[in-house]
Amino acid sequence: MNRREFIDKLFEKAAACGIQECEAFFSSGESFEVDVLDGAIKEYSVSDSSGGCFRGLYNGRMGYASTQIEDEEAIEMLTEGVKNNASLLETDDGESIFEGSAAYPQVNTYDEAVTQIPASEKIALSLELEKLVKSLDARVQRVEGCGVNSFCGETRIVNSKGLDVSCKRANYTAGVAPVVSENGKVNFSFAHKFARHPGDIDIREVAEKSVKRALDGLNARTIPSGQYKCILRNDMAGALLATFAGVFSGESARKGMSLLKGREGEIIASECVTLTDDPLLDGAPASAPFDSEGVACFTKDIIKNGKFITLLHNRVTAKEAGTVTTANASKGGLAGKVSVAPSNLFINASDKTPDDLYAEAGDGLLITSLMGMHSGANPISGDFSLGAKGFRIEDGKIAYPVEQITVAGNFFEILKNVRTVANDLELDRAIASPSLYIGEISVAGK
Amino acid sequence: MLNKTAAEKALARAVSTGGDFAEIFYEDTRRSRISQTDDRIDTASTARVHGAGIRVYNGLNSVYVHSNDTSVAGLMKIASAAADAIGSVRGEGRDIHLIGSITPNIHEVKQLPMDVDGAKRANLVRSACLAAKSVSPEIAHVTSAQWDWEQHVTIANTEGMFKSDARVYTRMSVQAVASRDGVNQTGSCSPGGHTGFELFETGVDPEEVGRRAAEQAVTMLHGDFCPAGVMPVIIDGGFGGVIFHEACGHSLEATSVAFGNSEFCGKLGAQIASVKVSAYDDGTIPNYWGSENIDDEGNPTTKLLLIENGILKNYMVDRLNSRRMNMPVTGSGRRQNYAFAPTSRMRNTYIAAGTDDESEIISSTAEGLYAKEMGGGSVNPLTGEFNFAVREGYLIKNGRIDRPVRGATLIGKGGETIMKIDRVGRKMWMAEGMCGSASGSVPTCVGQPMIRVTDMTVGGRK
Repeated sequence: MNRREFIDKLFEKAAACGIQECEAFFSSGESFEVDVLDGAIKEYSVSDSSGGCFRGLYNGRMGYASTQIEDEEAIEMLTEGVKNNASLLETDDGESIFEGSAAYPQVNTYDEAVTQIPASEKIALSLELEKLVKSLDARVQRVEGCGVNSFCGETRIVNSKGLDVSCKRANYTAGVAPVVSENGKVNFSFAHKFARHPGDIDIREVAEKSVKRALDGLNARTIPSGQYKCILRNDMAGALLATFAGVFSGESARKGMSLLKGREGEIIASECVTLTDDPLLDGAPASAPFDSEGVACFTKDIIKNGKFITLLHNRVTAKEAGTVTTANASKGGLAGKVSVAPSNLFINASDKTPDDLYAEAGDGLLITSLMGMHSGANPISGDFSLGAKGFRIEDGKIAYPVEQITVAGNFFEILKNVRTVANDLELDRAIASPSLYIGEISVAGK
Repeated sequence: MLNKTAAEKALARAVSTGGDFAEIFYEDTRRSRISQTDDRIDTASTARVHGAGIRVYNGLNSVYVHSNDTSVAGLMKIASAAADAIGSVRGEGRDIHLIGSITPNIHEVKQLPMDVDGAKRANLVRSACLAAKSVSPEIAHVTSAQWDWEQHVTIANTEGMFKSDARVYTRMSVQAVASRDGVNQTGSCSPGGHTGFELFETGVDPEEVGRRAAEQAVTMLHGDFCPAGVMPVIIDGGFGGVIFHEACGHSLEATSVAFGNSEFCGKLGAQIASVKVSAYDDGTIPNYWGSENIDDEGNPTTKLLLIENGILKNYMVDRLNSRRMNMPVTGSGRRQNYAFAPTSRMRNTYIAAGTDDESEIISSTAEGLYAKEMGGGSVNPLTGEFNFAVREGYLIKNGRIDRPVRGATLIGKGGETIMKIDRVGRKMWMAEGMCGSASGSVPTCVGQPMIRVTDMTVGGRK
């Protein structure tokens, strides 16, 4: 059965069995991944995936069911699943099927040329990257991972109210994790580059960045426990923001899981902090013309010069909060209920360099690695206590590498304590930040 | 179902370009989930996961291709893609003759969750929520969920294997948030098993699960910030075993060992842990969360001795890495689903019961941290550096458990930490978790008796 037939039959069956309005959300894609080791292919994987999630309003409640196979049996399973699941629900959150936005923005998410790069070229690029990394310094022992992955796929939303939108996406990424050693001490680091157009990846830049990071961290030592003035390198500031991004979700607020509920208009961050959610950014990882409900995406500030402007919403959370959707509806996986998530979320850069931040701190700590985000950070309270690595800063300059420490604090306090934002924002991940000087933080060491 | 003739054809195609081994992993899985937030059921969903993956080896080169299309044409398409990637020889391929076998089932299932009435599931999450709410007026929010999945797999390979297995998993979880003066603290409890819905009649009381989560949240709400520094740490049994899972288990997986990316490479027969420590990775315990009949490469699961009185005895080895390491497989090849190539993974991993008296372990500790319940963690096998969160912790003063502390993190290096275990208690138990690694997220148990580590770096805010 082809997709069109499947949709027609599914909607027909749904109408026949009392499902008032419904939607089919399809996600399909091809991904390619190659990992090389010692000049040979270590892992090679190709996947071709396709699935559909069906939701429908039955007796006023929205039921969900999903499938990765589109056959007659699936139609039965989806319609029965929607009815049974809807019948179990006790919430009437007003979830409904969206009739469509007046217009949709043009967003750069797809370049046909990326889908045409042959496997042999991606393998060659991976091998060249490994060779380069090994050639940069005699202390590079091997790579723990080195490769290229690519993805091209499509999201399509079709519903019984006449909406039929789709978006193609393609990208490729190269990354490498060199292992370096000196005098029996081992260290490793990682660098990667995300691109939407062929030729956008400079593997020399990736290789040099990864090797420098690994070598810089060699011969690290621990430091005494205490309070240290702290700078979060751009990638770690981004990782911390990603860990706590849920606090800006209207869904979390609605469930009482965000301390930001009802605090729009308050000052929640330092004046130098402006946090933006921008789904329209050219070629960025989470750019999209429409969200998971089919609402046209747009750019908005969440925090403007320290002032909390808005939570992120989908149509349900917005309705309950008495506002309008910010087009941040998201599906956590094919089977998931429509929830809320940021698109490209970032703290706006300033014109200060990271060196300016070190000079401003004078005596302190630069954090370049955080471990245990999924366990040592509590997105509800904002508290975190994480394993960390980095560099001691003395006289305003990087002095020596540090390991076996933990840093502990609270995300909401950090937002308020940001002293200075740097200029080094890199949108290789959907959630990102420039380096941040965040004042003092608790460190456990020796 | 995977058709045997179609599998034979696809395997023949997969090795037609010079590959020396090929395998098909076919999967059809149904999942269901129901959850309640506060006083109302707000999610109910069902999903069908379906697909197949074909793996081809040529020596140490390995290729994995998977798709949702499991028709004969779909299988031939992925077989061809795998063949094209592994080699350039254009050959006829060899004849593959598959011989079916019945997989013995050691995990009896009495009630298939898919057949359980929705109302019964709804009652379960409702009663757990109510029980949690009733613990204290400080419980501000409760989420309770129950989910299960029934995975049917067929594994066929060019050595003639044609095996099927059905795996049924049932689990529930309660997360409670206690709140006071703008401060939130959480507690959770998530029991489950490789079993059917009878789990809730024989082993797990949903109300008890709710109360346990709520009590933990309230306890932590009244805790002070944990002091930072180096101190003796007593880690209780059950989920406390996550220390061993993170600090040692991952570094004993062939995924790390075969590439020299583990601090325990080349240490078989050497003392890597305190003599007090013996440890196992056991997939054979009936109905345990991390147990199996066969692994995802079709090999029978095993009870594997990892460490005996501190001496390293075995690594966990999957098929591809058994070639790299020249060691036999240990039934440890696992994957989340057909979308992942399998690799060596843990099952139910635990430190075996020792001989120390639990009350003495506490009374002989002048000052330190008692980690009653652990949260998750992670490790870099290369350096052994690990970190994990203490979900419910207390300070120990003068040999007594003093007051609760929150926000504690334990860090260290695996090899150093397991050498510093100076007490191992008598009563061992396990707890359920999901372990994420190269081949996705798989159910595992961690476990141990109460243990003491002479000194560890404790991260906290004070």
